Amino acid sequence: MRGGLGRTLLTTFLVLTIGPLSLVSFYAITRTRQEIEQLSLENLQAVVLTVRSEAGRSVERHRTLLLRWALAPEDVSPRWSYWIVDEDGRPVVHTGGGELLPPEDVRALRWEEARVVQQAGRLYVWIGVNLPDGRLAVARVPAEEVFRLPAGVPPVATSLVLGGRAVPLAGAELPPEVVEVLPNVPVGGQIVGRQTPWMVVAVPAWNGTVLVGVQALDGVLATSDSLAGALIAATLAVALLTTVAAAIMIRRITRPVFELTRTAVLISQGDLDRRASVDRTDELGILAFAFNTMAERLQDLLETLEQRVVERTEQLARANKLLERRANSLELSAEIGREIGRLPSLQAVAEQAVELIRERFGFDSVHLWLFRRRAHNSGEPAFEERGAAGEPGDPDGVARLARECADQGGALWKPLNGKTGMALPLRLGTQLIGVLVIVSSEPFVEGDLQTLQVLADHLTVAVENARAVEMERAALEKLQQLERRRSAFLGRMSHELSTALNSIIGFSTLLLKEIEGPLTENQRSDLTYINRNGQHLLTLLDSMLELVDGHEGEETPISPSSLVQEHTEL
Amino acid sequence: MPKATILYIEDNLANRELVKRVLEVEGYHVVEAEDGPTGLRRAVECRPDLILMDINLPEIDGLTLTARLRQLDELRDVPIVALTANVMKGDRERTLAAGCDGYIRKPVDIDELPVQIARYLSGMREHV
Repeated sequence: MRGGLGRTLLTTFLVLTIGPLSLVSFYAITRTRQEIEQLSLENLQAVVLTVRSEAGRSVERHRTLLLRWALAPEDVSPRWSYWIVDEDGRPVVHTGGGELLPPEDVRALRWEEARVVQQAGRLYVWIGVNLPDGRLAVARVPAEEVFRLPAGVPPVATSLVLGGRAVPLAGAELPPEVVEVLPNVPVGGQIVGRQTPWMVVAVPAWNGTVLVGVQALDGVLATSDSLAGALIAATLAVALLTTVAAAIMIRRITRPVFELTRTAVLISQGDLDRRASVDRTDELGILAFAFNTMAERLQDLLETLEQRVVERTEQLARANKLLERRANSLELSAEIGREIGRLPSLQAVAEQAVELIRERFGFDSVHLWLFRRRAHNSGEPAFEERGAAGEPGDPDGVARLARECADQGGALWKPLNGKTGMALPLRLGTQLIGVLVIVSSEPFVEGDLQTLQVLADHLTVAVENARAVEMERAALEKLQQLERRRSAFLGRMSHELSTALNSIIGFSTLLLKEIEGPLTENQRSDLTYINRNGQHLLTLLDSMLELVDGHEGEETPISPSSLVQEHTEL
Repeated sequence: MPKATILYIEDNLANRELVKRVLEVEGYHVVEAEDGPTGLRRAVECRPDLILMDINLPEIDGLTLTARLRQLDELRDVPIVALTANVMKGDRERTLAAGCDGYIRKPVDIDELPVQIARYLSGMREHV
């Protein structure tokens, strides 16, 4: 379960501390080394220069000794090979061993400070001194004698380079890599070799020879190396210490984190009782506290989840039922509205509506109370029950409820003999036309009021429609009746008139035809008046009947409005 | 040759008198009846050549009477002419539809009456 947080932190820390530290140390060591090398090289240079200058002084000393011998040979017993040579360079006197240089080289010794020559595998320094009698004294001194390392100087291997080859003078044998380099050492010296570094310094000696000093660097570097070692050791020690310290510090962080992680994993695996035990006051402590609280709540939640689901399901089911009920009620209301709307008369509406409502909704009883339209005769109530369905347990209670609703103008419900009674106003705009009272043994729920009010509204419309239809029908009836009476009257009138006219015109015509006998002038004249007037009346009758011709004999029902229209036109 | 027999059913005395006089002058034999039942009886008795009938009769409506008359086999081919004061829209159709073969408007034009009678007797029929 350890996720490596600690490792990561530690690694990061180590890298961040040791890295720079190491870099700095490395830099310091390298610089120190370089400086030491430089210093050592300079030291070697100094040494070799000293050897060279000492060699010069040695040559002078030897020259003095040579002169003394040359002047008084019996006084001095030379250690080395001395000659006295003539102007040509041929030996005159000789002491010690050795072979003389060729005459031209000998002659050169007159003015040369010295000359280095290799003879029989050994290096010699030839020195010359001019004698007062014009002859030349020369000495041959082994190079080792001349080139001597001063005392108290660290061991340096010296060699002389002549003719492109290095001939060792003193000191230990040199490795081949160094020997290779010797003939071509630059001014300032150089460091040769990788594993065992050597310093090589070159100083010109006489006649083109070069004095070379070689010194191993390890000895010199020993101190620097030990310094480096100490530094590294110190670095490592510091690193170690800081690592340890860091590890401890990191642990202070990772341990609570680990504890939290472990607790979280255990909880996620199902152990809901687990809590993280982190006793700190910093952010980790706060985190642990928050975590524990969360775990507590989670446990709580999960344990009560099932219960909540059940509760919620029940809630939803109830809400669903309510909605269903509401939808059903509204549907029923609309259906009832439609059915009632088809009924022809007000009384039919009142009676059937209450029955329909009761049946469809399953109420105990339903009552419809209406206000009378016209001004009533005394004795006829203005507000009465026009339709009732079902068994009213308490008719007086129903009446009271209806009246109260009519007075207040708003819906209300009351307990009624152990059941519930609801009164809904039937409102047409601002006018109250009646009250619908419903008695139910089941309690009403929220939403029922709105649904039933919708029903009441439908009922209101139906009632009003029925009333309107009735009124129209009555008006139509009346108009038709009037029409019938009028046409009957006209029919009778025209019949009576025409019958009378028949006689008047007929008999007068008959007489005028003298079928009954001859007529006097006066009789003829009189009868003519009678006849003519009779004709005139007939014409009048005809024109009168023509005017009303459009209606007489028609039996198809006409709308009162069209009748009125025609009458007004007339 | 004796002229035709005409049965005249009319409740009004004055009218009866007038028409009878006019027709008798023309030489027709006129049989009178003052109401429907009488009219039916007389029709069976005298087998008229033409029945002249007032539509507005008491007790029985002229058109109904026409239907009754038509039910009698003997009177199947006898022209029945209605005398009517109602010459309104539809009256004509109703009259003809009831079985009348024609109608004459009241008040009667005594000059025209004989001419119309002669026409009906000779077989003229009004059609709806």
